[in-house]
Amino acid sequence: MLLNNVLLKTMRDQIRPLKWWSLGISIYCSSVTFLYAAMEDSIGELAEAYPADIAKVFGIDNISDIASPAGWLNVEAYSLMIPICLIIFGVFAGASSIGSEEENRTIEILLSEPLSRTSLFLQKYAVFMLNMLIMASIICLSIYIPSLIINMELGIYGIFSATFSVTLISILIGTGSFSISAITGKRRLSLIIPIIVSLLSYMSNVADGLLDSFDVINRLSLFRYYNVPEAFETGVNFPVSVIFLTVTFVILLLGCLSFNRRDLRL
Amino acid sequence: MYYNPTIMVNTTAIKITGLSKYYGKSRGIVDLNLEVSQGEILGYLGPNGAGKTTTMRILMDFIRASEGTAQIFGMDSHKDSLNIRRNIGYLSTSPVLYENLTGRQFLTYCMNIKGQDETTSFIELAERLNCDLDKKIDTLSHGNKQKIAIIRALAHKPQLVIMDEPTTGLDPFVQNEFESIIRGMAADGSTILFSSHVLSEVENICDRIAIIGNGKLIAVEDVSDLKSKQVRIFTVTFVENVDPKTFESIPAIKNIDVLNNQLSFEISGPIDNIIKAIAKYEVSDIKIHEPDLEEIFLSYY
Repeated sequence: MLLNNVLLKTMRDQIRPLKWWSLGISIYCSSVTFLYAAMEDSIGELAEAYPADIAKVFGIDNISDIASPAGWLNVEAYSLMIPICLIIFGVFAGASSIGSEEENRTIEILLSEPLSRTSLFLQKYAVFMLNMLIMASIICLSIYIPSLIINMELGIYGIFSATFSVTLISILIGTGSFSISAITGKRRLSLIIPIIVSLLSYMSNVADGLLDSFDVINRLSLFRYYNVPEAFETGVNFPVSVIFLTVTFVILLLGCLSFNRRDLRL
Repeated sequence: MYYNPTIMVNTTAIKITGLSKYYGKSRGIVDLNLEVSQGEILGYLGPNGAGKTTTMRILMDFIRASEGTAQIFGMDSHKDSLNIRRNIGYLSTSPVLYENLTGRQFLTYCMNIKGQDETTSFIELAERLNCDLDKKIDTLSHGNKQKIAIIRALAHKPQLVIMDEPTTGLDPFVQNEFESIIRGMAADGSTILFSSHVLSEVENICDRIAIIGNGKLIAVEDVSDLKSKQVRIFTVTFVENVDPKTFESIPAIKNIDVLNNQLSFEISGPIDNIIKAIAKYEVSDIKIHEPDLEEIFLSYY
C-alpha cells in the first residue's frame, strides 16, 4: 500500500527519521514541562541571578516572566530549542524532498513515468507539510499532557498558539529549502541558504533587542514576528499568520514554476 | 494498457527537426534531423559525449531543446510529454534504482505510478532474464540491477522504447535473451531507439543506424546498405600467376596487391564485373572480407 504513489512512498521513506525526531522533541518538551513543577519554588531566585542582556541574546525579553508557566516554557523551549529543532527538521525535510531524488538521479525513474513535474512537486510538498504538522502536534501534546498532570494552568489554545507561531516560521523556512531544491536541483544549496537566512534573522532579532539602530533591518527578520510568549495569552496572531502563509505560498509557487521550466540535473 | 488511439494511427514514431541543445557555451547537439518509423529498431551510435544521451533526454523531456522540435507519435516531446510517457519505456545509462526496495517492490511502485496493477508482465520478463525479484536491490550485482531496469522499461509493453546502453553489465546469455525480447517487441509494432557501444549487438538487431559525432548527425542508413557501400577486401588465389593489369581496368577495384599467384584488392560498389573477370582464370580459393560495423563506425571519425 505504501508503494501506491510518490506521496505514500515518500512517507514510507521518512517514517524512520520522523520517528526519531518526534521521539527526541517529545522527550525534550515533556521533560521541560515536568521540570517546571520541580523548579517552581526556586525559579524567582534563578531569574534574579540571570543577566537581562544575556537573556535577550537567547530571545528572552523579560527574564522575570520565567516564574510563570508561559514564561518558563518560553525560556526553556520556545525561545530557542523548539525553533532550532523545528527549523532544522523543516530545512532537511524540504531539501531532501526533490533535491535528494535529483542528486541520486532517481528523479529520472519518476519522470520517465506518466507523472507530471507539478504532481511530483505537490506530492513531495504534501509529505513535507504532513511531517511539519506531525512534529507540531507532537510538540503541542508533549507539553499539554504533562502540563495537565502537574496542573500548570496552561490552556491548550495557548500552547497551540505558541506552537503555531514557531511552526509557521519553520514551514516558511522549510518551504524555502524545498523550493530552492526544486529551482536549483542542488541539495546542499537548499540546506545552506535557509540555515544562513535563519541565523541572520535570529541574530538580527537579538541585535534589535540590544541596539535600537537595528529596528529598520530587523523588520525583515522572521523572528521579529515570532510572538511567543505573548501567544500564550493573546492566541494566534492572524494578520502575521496570513502574511507568513502568503509568503510561503509565493515561495512555493516560484519553486513549482521554476521546476517545471528547467532542465533536470542528471 | 494505456494505448492512445491518436498514437496508434501515426506511422512516424519519432520526428526530430532542427534540434539543438547548448549547455551555456558548450555544445550538446546541433541541428539534428531524424525520423524513426513505427516498428523500427534504430541503433543510435556515437562516441562518448557525441550527443546521444542529450537527444534521449530531450525526447524524455528531462531537458529542453535550445532550438528545434522533437515529436513522438506526432506530439511535441515537451508540451505533450505526460501523454507521450504513457507509451514510452525508458532506460537511462547506468540507471539508479531505489536501493532500499526489493526488485518486486520497485517494479510494483513503478507500475502503480503508471496506474497499472498488473504484475504478470514483469514476472514473465524476470523469468526470461533470470532475475531474482525478491532480493533487496542494494544487494544485487550491477548486471542484476540492469536487468531490473530493463524489466521496468519493457514490462508495460510500451509503443516506444528508448534505451541508453541497455546491455552494459549483462552476461552473454542475458544479452541474447534481451535481443530476442527487443526483436519480439519490434515485431509486435513497438519502436526501439537505443544506443550501444556493443556494435555486434547493434548489427544483430537494428534495422537502421544513426551515427552522431560532435553533436551532429553524420549518417543514417540501413545496416545492410551501409555495409554494401563500404570497401570490401577480396583475396583471390589462382592456380597460376595472373597479370594484375587485367583487373586494374575495372573502376571499382583499388589497391591491387600481388603475391605470387595471390591477388588482393579493395572494391566498393557492384561486384558483377569483378566476378566475371576472375572467372576467366582457374581459381583455387577466394576470400571476401566484409567490414563489421565497428570498422564502418570508426571510418566516420
